[in-house]
Amino acid sequence: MIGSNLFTSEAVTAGHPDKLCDQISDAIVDSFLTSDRAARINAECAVAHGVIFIAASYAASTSIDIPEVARTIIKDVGYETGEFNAADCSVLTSIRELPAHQRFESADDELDSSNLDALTVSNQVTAFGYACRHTDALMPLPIWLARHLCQRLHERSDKLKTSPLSPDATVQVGIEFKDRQPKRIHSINFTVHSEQACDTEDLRAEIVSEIIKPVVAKESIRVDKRTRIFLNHQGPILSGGPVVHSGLTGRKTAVDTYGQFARHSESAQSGKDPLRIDRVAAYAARHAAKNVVAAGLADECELLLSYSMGLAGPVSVQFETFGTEHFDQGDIHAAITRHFDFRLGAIVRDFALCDLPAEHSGNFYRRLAAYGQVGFTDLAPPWEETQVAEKLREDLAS
Amino acid sequence: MTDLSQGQLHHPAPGATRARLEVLHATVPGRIRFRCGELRRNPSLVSRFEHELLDYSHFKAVEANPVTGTLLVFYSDITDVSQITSQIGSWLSDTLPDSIQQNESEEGGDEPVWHTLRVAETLARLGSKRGGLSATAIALRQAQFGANALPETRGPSDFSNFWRQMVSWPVALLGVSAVVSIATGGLVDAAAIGTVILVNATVGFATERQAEKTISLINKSPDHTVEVIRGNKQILVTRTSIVPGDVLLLTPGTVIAGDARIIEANRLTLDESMLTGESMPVEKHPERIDKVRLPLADRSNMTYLGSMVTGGSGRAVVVAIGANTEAGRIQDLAQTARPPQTPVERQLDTLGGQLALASGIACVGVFAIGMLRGRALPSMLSSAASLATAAVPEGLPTVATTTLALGIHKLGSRGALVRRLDAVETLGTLHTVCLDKTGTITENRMSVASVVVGDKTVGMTELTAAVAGDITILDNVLHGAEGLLKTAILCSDAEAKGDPSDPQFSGSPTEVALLRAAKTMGADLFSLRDAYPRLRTRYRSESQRYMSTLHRGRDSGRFLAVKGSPREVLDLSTQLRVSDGELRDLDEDWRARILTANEALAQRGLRVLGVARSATLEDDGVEPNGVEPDNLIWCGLVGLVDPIRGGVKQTLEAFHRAGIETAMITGDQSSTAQAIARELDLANGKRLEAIDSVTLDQMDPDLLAGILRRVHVFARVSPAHKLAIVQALQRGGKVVAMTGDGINDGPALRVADLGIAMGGEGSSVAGELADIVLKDDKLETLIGAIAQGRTIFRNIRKSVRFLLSSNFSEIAVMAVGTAISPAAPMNPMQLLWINLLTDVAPALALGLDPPEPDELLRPPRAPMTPILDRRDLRRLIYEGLTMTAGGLASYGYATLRYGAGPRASTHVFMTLTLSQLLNAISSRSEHHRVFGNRQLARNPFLTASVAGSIALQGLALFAPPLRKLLGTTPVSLSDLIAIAASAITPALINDATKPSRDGLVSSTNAQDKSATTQPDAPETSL
Repeated sequence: MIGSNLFTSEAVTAGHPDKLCDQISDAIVDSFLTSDRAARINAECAVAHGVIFIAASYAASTSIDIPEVARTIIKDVGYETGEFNAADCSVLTSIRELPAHQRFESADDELDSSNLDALTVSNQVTAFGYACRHTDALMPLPIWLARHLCQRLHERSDKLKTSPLSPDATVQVGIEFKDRQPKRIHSINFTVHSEQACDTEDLRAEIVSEIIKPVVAKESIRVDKRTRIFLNHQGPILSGGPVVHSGLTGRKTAVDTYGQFARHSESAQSGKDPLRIDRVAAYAARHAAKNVVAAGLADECELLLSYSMGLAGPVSVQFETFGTEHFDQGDIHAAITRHFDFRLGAIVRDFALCDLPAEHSGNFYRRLAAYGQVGFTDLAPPWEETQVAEKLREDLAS
Repeated sequence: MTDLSQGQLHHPAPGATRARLEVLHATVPGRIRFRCGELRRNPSLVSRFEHELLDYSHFKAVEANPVTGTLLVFYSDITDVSQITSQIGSWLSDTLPDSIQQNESEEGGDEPVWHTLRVAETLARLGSKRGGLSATAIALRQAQFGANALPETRGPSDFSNFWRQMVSWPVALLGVSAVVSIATGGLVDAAAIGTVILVNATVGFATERQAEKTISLINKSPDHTVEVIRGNKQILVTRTSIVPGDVLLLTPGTVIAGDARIIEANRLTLDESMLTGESMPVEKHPERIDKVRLPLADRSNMTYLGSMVTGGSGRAVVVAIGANTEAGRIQDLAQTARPPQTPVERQLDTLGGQLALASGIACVGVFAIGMLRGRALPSMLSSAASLATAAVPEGLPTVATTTLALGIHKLGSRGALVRRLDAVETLGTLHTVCLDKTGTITENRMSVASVVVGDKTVGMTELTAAVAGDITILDNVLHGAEGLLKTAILCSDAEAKGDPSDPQFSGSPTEVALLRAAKTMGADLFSLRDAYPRLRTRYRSESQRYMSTLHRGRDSGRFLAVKGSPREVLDLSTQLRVSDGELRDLDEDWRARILTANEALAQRGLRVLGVARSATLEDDGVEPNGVEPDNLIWCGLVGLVDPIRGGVKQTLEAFHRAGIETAMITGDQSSTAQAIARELDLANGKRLEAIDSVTLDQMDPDLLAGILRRVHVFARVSPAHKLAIVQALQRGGKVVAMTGDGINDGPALRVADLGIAMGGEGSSVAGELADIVLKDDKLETLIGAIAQGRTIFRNIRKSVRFLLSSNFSEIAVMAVGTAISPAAPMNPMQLLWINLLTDVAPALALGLDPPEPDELLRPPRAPMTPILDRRDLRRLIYEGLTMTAGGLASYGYATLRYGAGPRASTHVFMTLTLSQLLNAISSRSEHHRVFGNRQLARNPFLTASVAGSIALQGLALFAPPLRKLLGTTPVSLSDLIAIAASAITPALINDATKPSRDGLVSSTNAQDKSATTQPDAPETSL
């Protein structure tokens, strides 16, 4: 970026139809892994006209009442009454049960060097991980703010005094940058929906005081007098949700990752089990990038991992530090290669991906789907930990 | 009388205020026609009129008509009309208070408009009470009103049926030729034509009558029992003994026995589709409605004969029975209506007409050729006339009716009772079968398999062993299970009777299973209900998927017992008893554990019920009906297993092989449904498509139609939505069969292309509505029925093809022969003989061909497939031409050897007859070789008729009287060889050149290409 620049990222609330589908898909993954950690599952969800379509293929020792899972999520997200609601909506499922031997049989085995190479990837992907110093969580500021605003908006949508809002809303945040550093909040753009008519001005005022102020207070950046705040700028507040616009798993990959501040893989992450490299490579890449920045090796780091089918490890590991590196790039690369094992089996083992749902009472991947696959530190996923930073620092200091 | 004129019609008679008596027509001396509203549907009044009025000396005759409500009086003396009117009027007023008025009249009159009256008023008018009628009142009314039965429908008379056989274009053509024969002096010919017509008509008439007899036998409904309240007691009586004033008890599944006014209703819903066409159940209430003129469908405080209770409960008092009901009135009007023609019959009718036309033209052509050749007019005329007779396949429509009728008989002997003629045809085009889970796929013989107390699952066998002391289980689990079962059986209608150690159970299978389980646990079934008397019942309904009952507690309090859908009952519960007997709050954690246990049970394919009860509450004076379930104490889950019927899996496989899709419909939760679908391999190895919805009927119909294209399982679907499913599938262009066995299935069974009921106990209600009843509850019977249905169409095709190719050869031989040779190749008698011999018996016998071996391995045909298309016609002409060539060759040989004359005629006559008989045999298969084919199943009828015909043909050759009649001459051995050769050769050629199924894809097999699905590429990895 050159000179002053505006960068925008958008995020959506958990009730947005696309995100709803992501959550349903991941809730299905959670359910399967909770009762059978060796289960393989691929679930996709679409919602249109108030009908939910779920396609699932799985190999597991149990089976799950998929429509019930979907209804639980729909209710949880806030669609309890109204035209589209958890009890009344129709759920169409298309299910393929695969033979039991296709489960992740080595889930219970000790994954060490001898058998890690045997666990090859069966999907190809180029995954990206990114970290920067905009926030304490080492996430880019635009998406960070947008996500938190959405989270707060969703929590309070039915409690707003002016008018209860639909669970479906979008927030776009524009940050002014100078020399790749965030300077000020340029604008925040809310698009909300509601069944009832309401006064836009009052609602806007309430959003500013109830939603924006508390969220921004936790950051180092502030809303100033020139910050423009829009509420449904393009028109009146209409009804929303799945009845009005349809949703599909995997259509909010930017919201899931870095808000396009960094590159991201086009593969959807929700609905896939831990053995899918096109899901978990993004975690590994984020982990490495975050630790590189946490260790002070650079102020910004974007890591690229490429995988080809049939191999256990990546065919390419590259990174970009945008001129912020404090050490020789070759040394950094060597350190990365030394301290991070990007093989599929290693990722699964190190992050204990198959056990995370059970450890979180069956509610892990679903929350990632709602609030961010990477950078959602409230849940403290393993790839957000920075223990390796210490070792990296030591390595490069010597 | 003198002061009456034509203009004075419809004036109200003086003095006839209460009983409306209008003079309709009094201009003719000696007779008056009155209208009397009271007469309508009041046979007792009618008979009294007709007898008692004659006591008056000046009345010569009295005729009263209960249908139109008019009275015709013939009188002798010169009496004033007004005097007669007032006499009759006062007689009426005197008579009427004795008899109870019946039924409302839409034109007003003096009958009460029931739906505008209050309940109390209604009861008063009927002389009845909430507690029902006394025995004496009942006896009186039964004598007065007679049995509660709809009069037998008089179908069209036998004569009109017979006459109908003869009214068709082919017969018309024959008639013309008979007339022509008479005109040309050929009386014998005319007689022969007449015989042909009569023979055909008789055969058709006989088989049709047989079919209708079979059908009406099935349609005779048995005398069902009805629950009524008489003398304050609830008893079971036969439907026919119901009288006006009887109080009917309405519970789910009750069929209404007579038109009745609702006096009590509790979420009462009824299916009135038979009368109003409204397919969804309607809710009823007892309040009066002020509007007098109200369409039937809007009378929400009335219920009518033939309606069925689909939910809730209530009571109704009968206002009309028998022919006086709305249903009876409709039947009156529809008495002489004929059932419509089936599609195949219609097609054959059209075909017959077209052929008659074509034959007529051909005969005119032959006539013209003959005239051009300079033959005598009379002989040419009679020739052409006989050719018309011979060429027209007048038995064409009969073939369809006969085959269908005989098909019905065959199906009946295999255990599939068919109600309608076109059901047999529909069987052949079936695409999709929707199977009800309970009762069709499963045996509907439930038993408790497991019980979940808290979060502990324990099997029934373990519980039984624990009670017997063989094993020990946790105390609280044992007690919890006991309490659970006791609560469950309090909240149920099932009964135990007889010997306490070995009782007889009656009731729904689910509830009986609970009774059995409770008994094994040692519960005292007989005293339990007495110890906790029931105060009110609320049945499971569409909007409330649980049943709740209110009971008096041990001391003065009351408590609720609730059982039903696990999730809904769990939502109503706020506490549960844990291991130390303490009451604990039902927090999220416990709810999750219970739901997990529910899931585990469901995955085993069990039907799961949740049971809860309230704490014993003080009787706070709230009316029993007002007590709502709330804050219940969760007792646990019951898992019931309903075994899958033996043979169902194989039957479903057979369906899939036959290109028929299957779908399972159940009210169970998704997991249970999927477990069963997996066990049965319902998806046939492909992805299992399931839909879980309680709002199917509210979905956009086109969306639903699109979604349902490939759905295998419908879960949590209430039976009332079956209708939406059927309609959506039909919108997708499929021919749908729906199975049903009980309440709420009515509309779906009616709308489906084929409604199927499983015969056997408890299903008689659906049995009356279904098109096919499967005796012995065997689903496999349906496979046989489908094979039969497909075969029938195929056999009709065979008959038609046979008739057409044979007759074509006759026309061709005559045309060419007349053109070339000096004399006509065959004389009229010979033509008629061929016709009788070959067109009747062999064609019918072909209709009885057994199913081809691969019948059930091919996809169904499209419903509107024509019997013959262009390709078929081309093939037929080809076959006809080979036979023509054979016939002409024989004629040519004989002419060359013996000259044109009777001898040559004999040759071609013999050749053609033989040729056609062989063609009949060859027509047994369109694609396979018949001669020498050992794999083809035998058709004894065809063999017999061909053999018989050959024998008769032999007689024609050797028996002198026949020879004289037919004009045949003796033949030598070499002649016989020549005849045989020219008959057998075309048959062999036709047989050998049959197109294979793939080679020449005809329209009936067009489905093959589109239905050949690529097997799903197996997913090897995720």
